[in-house]
Amino acid sequence: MLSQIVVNSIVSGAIYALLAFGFTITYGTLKFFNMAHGVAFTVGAYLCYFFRISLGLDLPWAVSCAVIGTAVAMVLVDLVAYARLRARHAPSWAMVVSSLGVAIFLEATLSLVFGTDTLTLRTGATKPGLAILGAIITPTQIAILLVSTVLVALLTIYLHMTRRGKALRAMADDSELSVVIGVQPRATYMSTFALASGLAAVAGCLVALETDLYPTMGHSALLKAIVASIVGGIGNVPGAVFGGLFLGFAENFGIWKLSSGWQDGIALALLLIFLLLRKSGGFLTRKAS
Amino acid sequence: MKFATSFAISALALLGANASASADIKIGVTLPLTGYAASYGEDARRGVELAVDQTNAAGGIKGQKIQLVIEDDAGAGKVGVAATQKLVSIDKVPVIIGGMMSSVALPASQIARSNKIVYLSTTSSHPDLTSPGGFIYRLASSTAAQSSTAVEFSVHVLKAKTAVGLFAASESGLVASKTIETGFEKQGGKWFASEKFQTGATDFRTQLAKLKAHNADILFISATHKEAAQIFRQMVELNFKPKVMGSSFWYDPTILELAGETANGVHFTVEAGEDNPEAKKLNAEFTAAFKAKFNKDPGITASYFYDAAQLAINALKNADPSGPAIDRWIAQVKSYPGVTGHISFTTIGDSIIPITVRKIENRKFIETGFTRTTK
Repeated sequence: MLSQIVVNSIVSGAIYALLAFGFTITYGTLKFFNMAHGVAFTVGAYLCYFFRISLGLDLPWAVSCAVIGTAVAMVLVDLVAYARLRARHAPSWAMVVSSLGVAIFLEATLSLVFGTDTLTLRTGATKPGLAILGAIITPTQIAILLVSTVLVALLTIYLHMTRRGKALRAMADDSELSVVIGVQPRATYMSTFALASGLAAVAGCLVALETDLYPTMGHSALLKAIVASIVGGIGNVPGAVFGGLFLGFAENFGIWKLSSGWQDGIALALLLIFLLLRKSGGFLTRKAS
Repeated sequence: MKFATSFAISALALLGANASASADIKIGVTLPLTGYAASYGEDARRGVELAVDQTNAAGGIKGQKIQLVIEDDAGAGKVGVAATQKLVSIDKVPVIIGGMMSSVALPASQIARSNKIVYLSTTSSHPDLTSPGGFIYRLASSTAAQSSTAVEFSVHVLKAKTAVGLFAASESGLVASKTIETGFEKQGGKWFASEKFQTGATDFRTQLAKLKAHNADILFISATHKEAAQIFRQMVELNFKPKVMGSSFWYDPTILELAGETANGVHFTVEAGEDNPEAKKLNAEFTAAFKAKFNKDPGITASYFYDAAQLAINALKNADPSGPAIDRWIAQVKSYPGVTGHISFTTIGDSIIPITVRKIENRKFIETGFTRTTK
């Protein structure tokens, strides 16, 4: 039983980590609390459905196209909705309200195009999962674990070893100084959106494979991304990954040991606790002055 | 000056148009157009629209057209209350069709009753909905009726001695868990454990893992058909195969698509309305008309909203368009032939309906023949 709960926790945690990674980068680099992060998740899932079911592409192609499509869409959203606000030096709450509008608009568009019924990406019969070390795990869940691990590793390398990645981190550290030393703000903003939404889209495709698609699926994704980011310290990338895993474990162990009616309450309770512990969230390390 | 004149003329024209619109007979409807129950709401909306369009095409009521005033209740209490208030105070409708979800039905019906407006609740199954006082009617059966049939079938036909339950943390789930747990133990069974989940949840694995550990004969589930499809799939993946008993939420063709083979062998209770030849014929006509107009099969909410609309229309044909007159007419209805079966009401507005158990096998609904009539 314990091993099953652990498996459930790691799988949920991996998804939350992917979502939190993107959310925290957006906040760190752009100082922007992106309420449209959840809808990037939903758009990714629906694009995957479109490419796989409507167009009949193979799954890896469908996922890749969905991820690229979402990244492109969100960069366009940035150009249309956020860039103008930035040009006018709008306060951050204005950006948040704008992102809320984007989220509602995109969700309604998806409902109009695809309908409000639940859609499924699965095309074969359901089989019992594989029994490993006393727990049962399905092929999709194994895929989730592999994909998330690889992505987090690759992105950590990207952030630390590539020029653009370092630019992202520089801008997160000090946006004015980074422009002075030659970081291109426009390109950096676009990379950040593309990266964060691409990650959310991957999470969306994986979750859609597991538990089907419906237009409001991004709501809980956004909540989990926010909680996990704050638990790990908003803007702190390793913290976000830790936060995601921590949330996955807390939820599943909470359901196991406490009454299962408290499931959503656990995420919100964690949020409250970590917000009270530190003003900016759990493990944010102090920057050297 | 020119602008002011044309504005004044258009305003007068609008007022005039409004005046004639308010001479139409209005029927108020609340249903979930947004939110977790939006797909049920779309289905239901088609049901009311079909009924009204058929009547209007045949000349309307006493020569007047029926105007449907549809408001979104999002399947949530707060929104439903606001929607109902609007229908009551602004549109001043004499009858409201709604109550798909108990969280809406419970407060909205009280608002209607205190304003002497008839509230026709469709699928809400909360036992507290109906009470002495008039104006509130329920077409579907209450959870208590379904639960007792479910328990009887499990104990006497499926011969289950031990049970576990998985219930939505919603009004209907709460009532279902109470009535099923006590009912099962009263019939001599042993209840091991119950787990809950948030409405709209998609991951039930940890709850299922906990329940699997008890090794019970049967699993009672209170969930919508979408949640159930996920639950069945995850049960197959976890190799958890007890007998399964659900409720009328599952009587929707979408579950056959979404769950496929994973739903094989599950049972559920549902109102048995359609088991007489007259209702079968009505049902066939209804399904044909529905398909012709919308190119889709009707779901269970469409059938209930259609019947509710027809009841309201018949009331308006035979009585004044006022709440109390409609209330008096509906109260004396006996064996009204609806697509969900013959409708009669008890003195507190509950519908007298037999409950039957059906089974899902190979993407089809199959009769078991087990029927009980409880109030």
